[in-house]
Amino acid sequence: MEINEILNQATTIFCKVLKNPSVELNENTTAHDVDGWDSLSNIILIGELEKHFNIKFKLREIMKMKNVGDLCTNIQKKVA
Amino acid sequence: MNLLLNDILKGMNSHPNRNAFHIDGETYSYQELSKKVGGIIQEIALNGNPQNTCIGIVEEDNLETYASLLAVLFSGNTYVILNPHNPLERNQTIMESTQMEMVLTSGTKEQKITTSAQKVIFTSNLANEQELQNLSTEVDENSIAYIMFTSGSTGVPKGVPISHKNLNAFYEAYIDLGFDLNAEDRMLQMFDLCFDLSVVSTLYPLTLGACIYTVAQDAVKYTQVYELLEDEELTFATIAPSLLSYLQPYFDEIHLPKLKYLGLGAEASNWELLQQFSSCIPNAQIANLYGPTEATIYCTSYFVDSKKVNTYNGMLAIGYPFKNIDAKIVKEDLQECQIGEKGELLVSGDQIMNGYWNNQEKSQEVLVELMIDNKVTTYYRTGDLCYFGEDACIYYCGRKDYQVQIQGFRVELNEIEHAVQKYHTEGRNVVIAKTNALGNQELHLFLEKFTGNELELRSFLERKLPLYMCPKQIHHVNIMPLNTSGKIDRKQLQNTIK
Repeated sequence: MEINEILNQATTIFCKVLKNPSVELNENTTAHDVDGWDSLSNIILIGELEKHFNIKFKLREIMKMKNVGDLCTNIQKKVA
Repeated sequence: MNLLLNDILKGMNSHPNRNAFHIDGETYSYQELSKKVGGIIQEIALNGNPQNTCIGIVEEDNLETYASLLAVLFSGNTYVILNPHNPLERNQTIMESTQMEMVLTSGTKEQKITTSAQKVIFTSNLANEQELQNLSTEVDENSIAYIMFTSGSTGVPKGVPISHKNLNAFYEAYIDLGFDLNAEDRMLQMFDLCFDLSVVSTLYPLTLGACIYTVAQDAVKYTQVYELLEDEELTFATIAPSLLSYLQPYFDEIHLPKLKYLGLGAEASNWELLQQFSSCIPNAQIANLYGPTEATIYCTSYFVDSKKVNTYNGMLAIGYPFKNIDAKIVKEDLQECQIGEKGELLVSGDQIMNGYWNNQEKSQEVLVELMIDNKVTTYYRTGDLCYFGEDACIYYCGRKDYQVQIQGFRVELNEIEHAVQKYHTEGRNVVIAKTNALGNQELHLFLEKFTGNELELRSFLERKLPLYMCPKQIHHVNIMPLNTSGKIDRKQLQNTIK
Protein backbone atom coordinates (compact mmCIF):
# COMPACT_ATOMS: atom_id res chain seq x y z
CA MET A 1 0.00 0.00 0.00
CA GLU A 2 1.21 3.54 -0.82
CA ILE A 3 2.28 5.70 2.15
CA ASN A 4 -0.17 8.40 1.08
CA GLU A 5 -3.04 5.94 1.15
CA ILE A 6 -2.03 4.80 4.65
CA LEU A 7 -1.76 8.43 5.74
CA ASN A 8 -5.28 9.12 4.44
CA GLN A 9 -6.79 6.14 6.19
CA ALA A 10 -4.89 6.91 9.41
CA THR A 11 -6.14 10.50 9.30
CA THR A 12 -9.72 9.27 9.16
CA ILE A 13 -9.08 7.13 12.24
CA PHE A 14 -7.40 10.00 14.11
CA CYS A 15 -10.37 12.29 13.36
CA LYS A 16 -12.77 9.67 14.65
CA VAL A 17 -10.85 8.78 17.84
CA LEU A 18 -9.95 12.35 18.76
CA LYS A 19 -13.47 13.48 17.85
CA ASN A 20 -12.04 16.27 15.75
CA PRO A 21 -12.87 16.26 12.01
CA SER A 22 -10.12 18.76 11.22
CA VAL A 23 -7.07 16.74 12.32
CA GLU A 24 -4.44 17.05 9.61
CA LEU A 25 -1.52 14.68 9.55
CA ASN A 26 1.66 14.69 7.54
CA GLU A 27 4.78 12.59 7.89
CA ASN A 28 6.38 15.07 10.32
CA THR A 29 3.41 15.38 12.69
CA THR A 30 4.14 14.35 16.31
CA ALA A 31 1.93 13.92 19.40
CA HIS A 32 2.87 17.46 20.45
CA ASP A 33 1.26 18.90 17.32
CA VAL A 34 -2.15 17.31 17.78
CA ASP A 35 -4.54 18.39 20.54
CA GLY A 36 -5.72 15.46 22.61
CA TRP A 37 -3.04 13.00 21.47
CA ASP A 38 -1.87 11.67 24.86
CA SER A 39 -1.35 8.33 26.62
CA LEU A 40 -5.03 7.54 26.75
CA SER A 41 -5.90 8.42 23.17
CA ASN A 42 -2.67 6.80 21.95
CA ILE A 43 -3.83 3.44 23.26
CA ILE A 44 -7.16 3.86 21.52
CA LEU A 45 -5.47 5.08 18.32
CA ILE A 46 -3.07 2.15 18.24
CA GLY A 47 -5.95 -0.25 18.89
CA GLU A 48 -8.06 1.23 16.09
CA LEU A 49 -5.14 1.24 13.64
CA GLU A 50 -4.36 -2.39 14.50
CA LYS A 51 -7.97 -3.34 13.89
CA HIS A 52 -8.29 -1.34 10.67
CA PHE A 53 -5.09 -2.61 9.06
CA ASN A 54 -5.32 -6.03 10.71
CA ILE A 55 -1.83 -5.78 12.18
CA LYS A 56 -0.20 -5.92 15.62
CA PHE A 57 2.43 -3.54 16.95
CA LYS A 58 5.15 -4.39 19.42
CA LEU A 59 5.72 -1.98 22.31
CA ARG A 60 9.27 -1.37 21.05
CA GLU A 61 7.85 -0.30 17.69
CA ILE A 62 5.32 2.07 19.26
CA MET A 63 8.10 3.55 21.36
CA LYS A 64 10.42 4.08 18.39
CA MET A 65 7.80 5.89 16.33
CA LYS A 66 8.69 9.53 16.65
CA ASN A 67 6.20 10.92 14.16
CA VAL A 68 3.34 10.01 11.87
CA GLY A 69 5.81 9.16 9.07
CA ASP A 70 7.35 6.41 11.25
CA LEU A 71 3.87 5.18 12.07
CA CYS A 72 2.89 4.92 8.39
CA THR A 73 6.16 3.23 7.37
CA ASN A 74 5.61 0.69 10.12
CA ILE A 75 2.07 0.00 8.96
CA GLN A 76 3.28 -0.29 5.37
CA LYS A 77 5.85 -2.94 6.33
CA LYS A 78 3.27 -4.93 8.25
CA VAL A 79 0.54 -4.96 5.63
CA ALA A 80 2.95 -5.87 2.84
CA MET B 1 17.96 22.68 61.29
CA ASN B 2 15.65 21.53 58.54
CA LEU B 3 16.52 17.86 58.02
CA LEU B 4 15.29 17.42 54.46
CA LEU B 5 16.65 20.71 53.12
CA ASN B 6 19.95 20.02 54.86
CA ASP B 7 20.23 16.57 53.26
CA ILE B 8 19.32 17.96 49.83
CA LEU B 9 22.02 20.60 50.16
CA LYS B 10 24.49 17.94 51.26
CA GLY B 11 23.51 15.74 48.32
CA MET B 12 23.96 18.62 45.88
CA ASN B 13 27.28 19.80 47.26
CA SER B 14 28.87 16.37 47.59
CA HIS B 15 28.18 15.25 44.02
CA PRO B 16 28.84 18.30 41.80
CA ASN B 17 29.84 16.27 38.76
CA ARG B 18 27.18 13.59 38.95
CA ASN B 19 23.96 13.90 37.02
CA ALA B 20 21.05 15.28 38.98
CA PHE B 21 18.43 15.26 36.23
CA HIS B 22 17.76 13.51 32.96
CA ILE B 23 15.05 15.53 31.22
CA ASP B 24 13.86 14.94 27.67
CA GLY B 25 17.12 13.24 26.66
CA GLU B 26 19.41 15.87 28.24
CA THR B 27 21.36 15.44 31.47
CA TYR B 28 22.17 18.16 34.02
CA SER B 29 24.80 17.87 36.73
CA TYR B 30 24.31 18.74 40.37
CA GLN B 31 26.58 21.72 39.77
CA GLU B 32 24.32 23.01 37.01
CA LEU B 33 21.29 22.46 39.22
CA SER B 34 22.93 24.21 42.13
CA LYS B 35 23.79 27.25 39.99
CA LYS B 36 20.25 27.46 38.69
CA VAL B 37 18.78 27.25 42.19
CA GLY B 38 21.23 29.88 43.48
CA GLY B 39 20.37 32.20 40.61
CA ILE B 40 16.64 31.91 41.22
CA ILE B 41 17.03 32.47 44.97
CA GLN B 42 18.92 35.65 44.18
CA GLU B 43 16.15 36.82 41.84
CA ILE B 44 13.55 36.16 44.53
CA ALA B 45 15.65 38.19 46.98
CA LEU B 46 16.03 41.05 44.48
CA ASN B 47 12.27 41.14 44.05
CA GLY B 48 11.36 42.15 47.56
CA ASN B 49 12.83 39.10 49.31
CA PRO B 50 9.46 37.70 50.38
CA GLN B 51 9.21 35.24 53.26
CA ASN B 52 6.43 32.78 53.97
CA THR B 53 4.51 33.78 50.86
CA CYS B 54 3.07 31.64 48.11
CA ILE B 55 5.13 31.68 44.93
CA GLY B 56 3.71 30.18 41.78
CA ILE B 57 5.71 27.90 39.50
CA VAL B 58 4.54 27.32 35.95
CA GLU B 59 5.05 23.59 35.45
CA GLU B 60 7.10 22.46 32.52
CA ASP B 61 9.37 19.50 31.99
CA ASN B 62 12.69 21.32 32.30
CA LEU B 63 15.53 22.05 34.72
CA GLU B 64 14.24 25.57 35.43
CA THR B 65 10.95 24.21 36.82
CA TYR B 66 12.66 21.77 39.20
CA ALA B 67 15.24 24.38 40.23
CA SER B 68 12.41 26.84 40.92
CA LEU B 69 10.80 24.36 43.25
CA LEU B 70 14.01 24.04 45.28
CA ALA B 71 14.62 27.79 45.22
CA VAL B 72 11.19 28.49 46.69
CA LEU B 73 11.77 25.93 49.46
CA PHE B 74 15.26 27.19 50.31
CA SER B 75 14.11 30.82 50.33
CA GLY B 76 11.58 30.01 53.04
CA ASN B 77 8.52 30.37 50.83
CA THR B 78 5.66 28.14 49.76
CA TYR B 79 5.48 26.68 46.28
CA VAL B 80 2.22 26.38 44.40
CA ILE B 81 2.21 24.69 41.01
CA LEU B 82 0.39 26.32 38.11
CA ASN B 83 -0.26 23.79 35.40
CA PRO B 84 -0.44 25.41 31.95
CA HIS B 85 -2.83 22.65 30.85
CA ASN B 86 -5.35 23.63 33.51
CA PRO B 87 -8.24 25.86 32.55
CA LEU B 88 -7.24 29.50 33.01
CA GLU B 89 -10.02 30.01 35.53
CA ARG B 90 -8.74 27.27 37.80
CA ASN B 91 -5.24 28.75 37.84
CA GLN B 92 -6.65 32.20 38.54
CA THR B 93 -8.72 30.86 41.44
CA ILE B 94 -5.56 29.29 42.87
CA MET B 95 -3.56 32.50 42.41
CA GLU B 96 -6.23 34.62 44.05
CA SER B 97 -6.83 32.33 46.99
CA THR B 98 -3.10 32.14 47.79
CA GLN B 99 -2.61 35.90 47.26
CA MET B 100 0.14 35.02 44.87
CA GLU B 101 2.26 37.97 43.82
CA MET B 102 5.24 36.25 42.33
CA VAL B 103 5.35 33.63 39.60
CA LEU B 104 8.43 31.77 38.34
CA THR B 105 8.32 30.63 34.76
CA SER B 106 10.80 29.32 32.23
CA GLY B 107 8.95 31.41 29.77
CA THR B 108 7.31 29.41 27.03
CA LYS B 109 3.80 28.76 28.30
CA GLU B 110 3.40 31.56 30.83
CA GLN B 111 1.17 33.96 28.97
CA LYS B 112 -2.20 32.53 29.79
CA ILE B 113 -1.30 32.13 33.45
CA THR B 114 0.74 35.02 34.68
CA THR B 115 -1.40 37.94 33.63
CA SER B 116 -2.62 38.68 37.14
CA ALA B 117 0.70 38.23 38.94
CA GLN B 118 2.59 41.39 39.78
CA LYS B 119 6.05 39.91 39.53
CA VAL B 120 7.03 37.41 36.90
CA ILE B 121 10.54 36.00 37.09
CA PHE B 122 11.86 34.38 33.95
CA THR B 123 14.08 31.54 35.05
CA SER B 124 15.59 30.62 31.70
CA ASN B 125 17.88 33.63 31.44
CA LEU B 126 19.03 34.63 34.87
CA ALA B 127 21.38 37.58 35.32
CA ASN B 128 23.54 35.76 37.78
CA GLU B 129 23.97 32.09 38.43
CA GLN B 130 25.83 31.13 41.56
CA GLU B 131 26.35 27.88 43.32
CA LEU B 132 24.72 27.14 46.62
CA GLN B 133 27.40 27.16 49.25
CA ASN B 134 26.53 28.66 52.56
CA LEU B 135 22.82 28.52 52.14
CA SER B 136 20.90 28.59 55.35
CA THR B 137 18.65 25.62 55.94
CA GLU B 138 17.10 27.28 58.97
CA VAL B 139 13.65 27.37 57.44
CA ASP B 140 10.96 27.65 60.10
CA GLU B 141 9.37 24.26 60.80
CA ASN B 142 5.88 25.70 60.84
CA SER B 143 6.14 27.52 57.55
CA ILE B 144 4.34 25.94 54.62
CA ALA B 145 6.53 24.10 52.09
CA TYR B 146 3.87 23.62 49.42
CA ILE B 147 0.16 23.73 48.83
CA MET B 148 -1.39 21.04 46.64
CA PHE B 149 -4.78 21.80 45.19
CA THR B 150 -7.11 18.84 44.84
CA SER B 151 -10.51 18.84 43.27
CA GLY B 152 -13.19 19.79 45.76
CA SER B 153 -16.65 18.29 45.62
CA THR B 154 -18.15 21.75 45.07
CA GLY B 155 -15.90 22.36 42.08
CA VAL B 156 -13.74 24.87 43.98
CA PRO B 157 -10.21 23.46 44.35
CA LYS B 158 -9.26 22.52 47.92
CA GLY B 159 -5.77 23.55 49.04
CA VAL B 160 -3.73 21.16 51.17
CA PRO B 161 -0.90 23.08 52.90
CA ILE B 162 2.03 20.89 53.96
CA SER B 163 4.49 22.41 56.44
CA HIS B 164 8.22 21.71 56.71
CA LYS B 165 7.39 19.88 59.92
CA ASN B 166 4.97 17.60 58.01
CA LEU B 167 7.50 17.08 55.24
CA ASN B 168 10.39 16.30 57.59
CA ALA B 169 8.26 13.80 59.53
CA PHE B 170 7.47 12.13 56.20
CA TYR B 171 11.12 12.18 55.14
CA GLU B 172 12.27 10.58 58.38
CA ALA B 173 9.68 7.82 58.05
CA TYR B 174 10.46 7.28 54.36
CA ILE B 175 14.18 6.77 55.15
CA ASP B 176 13.08 4.33 57.81
CA LEU B 177 11.53 2.08 55.12
CA GLY B 178 15.12 1.08 54.41
CA PHE B 179 15.40 1.35 50.64
CA ASP B 180 18.95 0.39 49.71
CA LEU B 181 19.79 3.29 47.41
CA ASN B 182 22.74 5.59 46.82
CA ALA B 183 24.27 8.08 44.39
CA GLU B 184 24.58 5.38 41.72
CA ASP B 185 20.82 4.89 41.48
CA ARG B 186 18.61 6.03 38.61
CA MET B 187 15.14 7.01 39.74
CA LEU B 188 11.87 7.79 37.97
CA GLN B 189 9.76 10.93 38.45
CA MET B 190 6.60 10.49 36.37
CA PHE B 191 4.07 12.53 38.34
CA ASP B 192 2.59 15.93 37.59
CA LEU B 193 4.07 18.45 40.00
CA CYS B 194 0.59 19.38 41.18
CA PHE B 195 0.25 15.83 42.51
CA ASP B 196 2.11 15.20 45.77
CA LEU B 197 3.82 11.94 44.75
CA SER B 198 6.06 14.19 42.66
CA VAL B 199 7.48 15.69 45.88
CA VAL B 200 9.14 12.49 47.06
CA SER B 201 10.05 11.37 43.53
CA THR B 202 11.93 14.67 43.12
CA LEU B 203 13.35 15.52 46.54
CA TYR B 204 14.38 12.11 47.83
CA PRO B 205 16.86 11.23 45.02
CA LEU B 206 18.55 14.62 45.56
CA THR B 207 19.38 13.68 49.16
CA LEU B 208 21.24 10.65 47.78
CA GLY B 209 23.02 12.40 44.95
CA ALA B 210 21.17 10.05 42.56
CA CYS B 211 19.85 10.91 39.10
CA ILE B 212 16.17 11.73 38.50
CA TYR B 213 14.57 10.74 35.19
CA THR B 214 11.54 12.88 34.41
CA VAL B 215 8.59 12.31 32.14
CA ALA B 216 6.91 15.13 30.21
CA GLN B 217 3.29 15.72 31.11
CA ASP B 218 1.79 16.45 27.74
CA ALA B 219 3.12 13.40 25.97
CA VAL B 220 2.38 9.72 25.61
CA LYS B 221 3.42 8.74 29.13
CA TYR B 222 3.36 4.97 29.22
CA THR B 223 5.75 4.55 26.31
CA GLN B 224 8.03 7.22 27.80
CA VAL B 225 8.11 5.46 31.16
CA TYR B 226 8.84 2.12 29.53
CA GLU B 227 11.55 3.69 27.38
CA LEU B 228 13.28 5.17 30.46
CA LEU B 229 12.92 1.99 32.50
CA GLU B 230 14.43 -0.17 29.79
CA ASP B 231 16.89 2.07 27.93
CA GLU B 232 18.22 3.98 30.95
CA GLU B 233 18.06 0.91 33.18
CA LEU B 234 16.29 2.68 36.01
CA THR B 235 16.72 1.11 39.43
CA PHE B 236 13.85 2.73 41.32
CA ALA B 237 10.40 3.63 40.05
CA THR B 238 7.18 4.62 41.73
CA ILE B 239 4.28 4.50 39.32
CA ALA B 240 0.51 4.68 39.31
CA PRO B 241 -0.87 1.15 38.79
CA SER B 242 -3.06 2.33 35.89
CA LEU B 243 0.17 2.67 33.90
CA LEU B 244 0.58 -1.10 34.13
CA SER B 245 -2.85 -1.70 32.67
CA TYR B 246 -1.76 0.31 29.61
CA LEU B 247 1.36 -1.82 29.28
CA GLN B 248 -0.42 -5.12 29.95
CA PRO B 249 -0.78 -6.17 26.27
CA TYR B 250 3.03 -5.93 25.95
CA PHE B 251 4.22 -7.60 29.17
CA ASP B 252 5.92 -10.40 27.22
CA GLU B 253 8.22 -7.84 25.56
CA ILE B 254 9.24 -6.10 28.78
CA HIS B 255 12.37 -7.15 30.65
CA LEU B 256 13.73 -4.91 33.41
CA PRO B 257 16.36 -6.86 35.36
CA LYS B 258 18.02 -3.70 36.74
CA LEU B 259 14.95 -2.45 38.58
CA LYS B 260 15.49 -2.83 42.35
CA TYR B 261 12.24 -1.38 43.63
CA LEU B 262 8.81 -0.86 42.15
CA GLY B 263 6.67 1.47 44.24
CA LEU B 264 2.95 1.70 43.61
CA GLY B 265 1.08 4.80 44.59
CA ALA B 266 -1.93 6.97 43.83
CA GLU B 267 -4.59 4.27 43.69
CA ALA B 268 -5.43 0.71 44.68
CA SER B 269 -3.10 -1.91 43.21
CA ASN B 270 -4.57 -4.94 41.57
CA TRP B 271 -2.45 -7.92 42.63
CA GLU B 272 -3.28 -10.08 39.63
CA LEU B 273 -2.03 -7.44 37.21
CA LEU B 274 1.11 -6.99 39.31
CA GLN B 275 1.70 -10.69 39.44
CA GLN B 276 1.62 -10.81 35.64
CA PHE B 277 4.05 -7.88 35.58
CA SER B 278 6.38 -9.39 38.18
CA SER B 279 8.03 -11.65 35.58
CA CYS B 280 9.15 -8.45 33.79
CA ILE B 281 10.91 -7.25 36.96
CA PRO B 282 12.67 -10.38 38.29
CA ASN B 283 14.91 -8.50 40.74
CA ALA B 284 12.55 -5.86 42.05
CA GLN B 285 10.91 -5.66 45.40
CA ILE B 286 7.34 -4.38 45.18
CA ALA B 287 6.15 -1.78 47.69
CA ASN B 288 2.55 -0.66 47.87
CA LEU B 289 2.52 2.90 49.19
CA TYR B 290 -0.64 4.45 50.54
CA GLY B 291 -1.47 7.91 51.76
CA PRO B 292 -3.77 10.88 51.33
CA THR B 293 -2.24 14.25 50.36
CA GLU B 294 -3.48 15.59 53.72
CA ALA B 295 -1.12 13.20 55.55
CA THR B 296 1.93 14.11 53.40
CA ILE B 297 2.42 11.77 50.44
CA TYR B 298 2.42 8.29 52.03
CA CYS B 299 1.63 7.10 55.54
CA THR B 300 1.52 3.31 55.23
CA SER B 301 3.56 0.78 53.26
CA TYR B 302 3.26 -2.84 52.28
CA PHE B 303 6.29 -4.70 50.96
CA VAL B 304 5.12 -7.70 48.98
CA ASP B 305 6.45 -11.08 50.02
CA SER B 306 5.49 -13.33 47.13
CA LYS B 307 5.21 -16.38 49.42
CA LYS B 308 2.23 -14.86 51.19
CA VAL B 309 0.47 -11.90 49.67
CA ASN B 310 -2.17 -9.99 51.60
CA THR B 311 -5.06 -8.87 49.42
CA TYR B 312 -8.70 -7.92 49.77
CA ASN B 313 -11.01 -8.20 46.75
CA GLY B 314 -7.89 -8.56 44.60
CA MET B 315 -6.35 -5.32 45.88
CA LEU B 316 -2.97 -5.34 47.65
CA ALA B 317 -3.08 -4.57 51.37
CA ILE B 318 -1.76 -1.14 52.32
CA GLY B 319 0.25 -2.65 55.12
CA TYR B 320 1.66 -0.96 58.16
CA PRO B 321 1.70 2.64 59.39
CA PHE B 322 4.82 4.74 58.89
CA LYS B 323 7.03 5.43 61.88
CA ASN B 324 5.33 8.19 63.92
CA ILE B 325 1.93 7.56 62.36
CA ASP B 326 -0.85 6.19 64.49
CA ALA B 327 -3.62 4.48 62.55
CA LYS B 328 -7.06 3.63 63.87
CA ILE B 329 -10.05 2.09 62.20
CA VAL B 330 -13.34 3.34 63.53
CA LYS B 331 -17.08 2.98 63.11
CA GLU B 332 -19.46 5.84 62.35
CA ASP B 333 -19.54 6.78 66.07
CA LEU B 334 -15.69 6.94 66.10
CA GLN B 335 -15.46 3.87 68.33
CA GLU B 336 -12.65 1.52 67.35
CA CYS B 337 -13.45 -1.51 65.21
CA GLN B 338 -12.54 -5.07 66.15
CA ILE B 339 -9.93 -6.98 64.19
CA GLY B 340 -11.47 -7.86 60.83
CA GLU B 341 -14.26 -5.32 61.21
CA LYS B 342 -14.44 -2.67 58.48
CA GLY B 343 -14.48 1.01 59.25
CA GLU B 344 -12.94 4.32 58.29
CA LEU B 345 -9.16 4.67 58.53
CA LEU B 346 -7.98 7.54 60.74
CA VAL B 347 -4.35 8.68 60.94
CA SER B 348 -2.50 10.99 63.32
CA GLY B 349 1.05 12.22 63.74
CA ASP B 350 3.39 14.94 62.55
CA GLN B 351 2.65 14.21 58.90
CA ILE B 352 -0.96 15.39 59.18
CA MET B 353 -1.76 18.86 57.81
CA ASN B 354 -3.11 21.52 60.17
CA GLY B 355 -6.16 22.14 58.01
CA TYR B 356 -7.19 23.05 54.47
CA TRP B 357 -6.11 26.39 53.08
CA ASN B 358 -8.67 29.02 54.17
CA ASN B 359 -11.39 26.44 54.59
CA GLN B 360 -12.20 25.90 58.22
CA GLU B 361 -15.50 24.23 57.49
CA LYS B 362 -13.92 21.49 55.39
CA SER B 363 -11.05 21.13 57.88
CA GLN B 364 -13.50 20.53 60.71
CA GLU B 365 -15.17 17.80 58.68
CA VAL B 366 -11.96 15.82 58.27
CA LEU B 367 -9.97 16.56 61.43
CA VAL B 368 -11.34 14.98 64.59
CA GLU B 369 -10.02 15.10 68.13
CA LEU B 370 -9.93 11.85 70.06
CA MET B 371 -8.96 11.27 73.68
CA ILE B 372 -6.03 8.84 73.64
CA ASP B 373 -4.33 8.04 76.96
CA ASN B 374 -5.84 11.15 78.54
CA LYS B 375 -4.41 13.27 75.75
CA VAL B 376 -6.33 14.98 72.98
CA THR B 377 -4.95 13.86 69.62
CA THR B 378 -6.01 15.12 66.21
CA TYR B 379 -6.81 12.45 63.63
CA TYR B 380 -7.37 12.89 59.92
CA ARG B 381 -10.37 11.02 58.52
CA THR B 382 -9.15 9.46 55.29
CA GLY B 383 -12.58 8.52 53.96
CA ASP B 384 -11.05 5.13 53.14
CA LEU B 385 -12.72 1.93 54.23
CA CYS B 386 -10.22 -0.48 55.81
CA TYR B 387 -9.79 -3.22 58.35
CA PHE B 388 -6.98 -4.60 60.50
CA GLY B 389 -5.95 -8.20 59.85
CA GLU B 390 -4.76 -10.56 62.59
CA ASP B 391 -1.16 -9.54 61.93
CA ALA B 392 -2.02 -5.81 62.32
CA CYS B 393 -1.75 -5.39 58.56
CA ILE B 394 -4.21 -2.83 57.15
CA TYR B 395 -6.41 -3.97 54.29
CA TYR B 396 -7.91 -1.39 51.97
CA CYS B 397 -11.54 -2.02 50.95
CA GLY B 398 -12.29 1.06 48.85
CA ARG B 399 -13.51 4.59 49.35
CA LYS B 400 -16.14 5.05 52.04
CA ASP B 401 -18.23 6.83 49.42
CA TYR B 402 -18.20 3.69 47.29
CA GLN B 403 -20.20 1.96 49.94
CA VAL B 404 -23.85 2.37 49.05
CA GLN B 405 -27.20 1.14 50.29
CA ILE B 406 -29.14 -0.87 47.74
CA GLN B 407 -32.59 -2.00 48.80
CA GLY B 408 -31.45 -1.62 52.38
CA PHE B 409 -28.32 -3.71 51.90
CA ARG B 410 -24.89 -2.21 52.36
CA VAL B 411 -22.97 -2.81 49.17
CA GLU B 412 -19.29 -2.28 48.46
CA LEU B 413 -18.81 -1.36 44.85
CA ASN B 414 -15.28 -2.83 44.84
CA GLU B 415 -16.68 -6.24 45.63
CA ILE B 416 -18.82 -6.17 42.49
CA GLU B 417 -15.89 -4.92 40.42
CA HIS B 418 -13.81 -7.77 41.74
CA ALA B 419 -16.46 -10.29 40.67
CA VAL B 420 -16.72 -8.73 37.20
CA GLN B 421 -12.95 -8.92 36.86
CA LYS B 422 -13.04 -12.69 37.18
CA TYR B 423 -15.08 -12.80 33.97
CA HIS B 424 -13.77 -9.74 32.17
CA THR B 425 -9.99 -10.03 32.44
CA GLU B 426 -8.84 -8.07 29.37
CA GLY B 427 -9.91 -4.60 30.47
CA ARG B 428 -10.89 -2.75 33.62
CA ASN B 429 -14.37 -2.32 34.98
CA VAL B 430 -16.01 0.22 37.24
CA VAL B 431 -19.31 0.05 39.10
CA ILE B 432 -21.11 3.28 39.89
CA ALA B 433 -24.27 3.84 41.90
CA LYS B 434 -26.66 6.50 40.69
CA THR B 435 -30.06 7.54 41.94
CA ASN B 436 -32.72 6.71 39.35
CA ALA B 437 -35.94 8.55 38.54
CA LEU B 438 -37.70 6.72 41.35
CA GLY B 439 -35.16 7.92 43.89
CA ASN B 440 -33.54 4.50 44.31
CA GLN B 441 -29.84 3.74 43.99
CA GLU B 442 -29.16 1.81 40.81
CA LEU B 443 -25.91 0.08 39.89
CA HIS B 444 -24.19 0.82 36.58
CA LEU B 445 -21.33 -1.28 35.28
CA PHE B 446 -18.77 0.27 32.93
CA LEU B 447 -16.73 -2.24 30.93
CA GLU B 448 -13.49 -1.41 29.17
CA LYS B 449 -12.63 -3.20 25.91
CA PHE B 450 -15.36 -5.81 26.46
CA THR B 451 -15.73 -8.21 23.57
CA GLY B 452 -17.62 -10.98 25.33
CA ASN B 453 -21.29 -11.75 25.67
CA GLU B 454 -23.27 -9.44 27.97
CA LEU B 455 -25.89 -12.06 28.75
CA GLU B 456 -23.23 -14.55 29.76
CA LEU B 457 -21.59 -11.94 31.98
CA ARG B 458 -24.93 -11.22 33.62
CA SER B 459 -25.61 -14.84 34.38
CA PHE B 460 -22.01 -15.23 35.63
CA LEU B 461 -22.57 -12.38 38.08
CA GLU B 462 -25.92 -13.75 39.18
CA ARG B 463 -24.12 -16.95 40.14
CA LYS B 464 -21.51 -15.03 42.17
CA LEU B 465 -23.45 -12.19 43.78
CA PRO B 466 -26.80 -11.61 45.43
CA LEU B 467 -29.26 -10.21 42.94
CA TYR B 468 -29.31 -6.74 44.54
CA MET B 469 -25.59 -6.49 43.84
CA CYS B 470 -25.89 -7.28 40.13
CA PRO B 471 -25.61 -4.10 38.04
CA LYS B 472 -28.84 -3.17 36.28
CA GLN B 473 -27.21 -1.23 33.45
CA ILE B 474 -24.11 -2.09 31.45
CA HIS B 475 -22.12 0.54 29.53
CA HIS B 476 -19.14 0.07 27.24
CA VAL B 477 -16.07 2.27 27.00
CA ASN B 478 -12.96 1.99 24.88
CA ILE B 479 -10.78 3.15 27.72
CA MET B 480 -11.47 4.39 31.24
CA PRO B 481 -11.21 8.17 31.59
CA LEU B 482 -8.57 9.27 34.11
CA ASN B 483 -8.45 12.42 36.22
CA THR B 484 -5.34 14.59 36.63
CA SER B 485 -4.01 12.32 39.39
CA GLY B 486 -4.09 9.32 37.06
CA LYS B 487 -7.02 7.70 38.84
CA ILE B 488 -10.15 6.49 37.09
CA ASP B 489 -12.48 9.47 36.81
CA ARG B 490 -15.68 8.10 38.36
CA LYS B 491 -17.41 11.45 38.25
CA GLN B 492 -16.98 11.64 34.50
CA LEU B 493 -18.39 8.13 34.11
CA GLN B 494 -21.31 9.02 36.33
CA ASN B 495 -22.05 12.07 34.21
CA THR B 496 -22.35 9.93 31.09
CA ILE B 497 -25.30 8.07 32.64
CA LYS B 498 -28.48 9.55 31.19
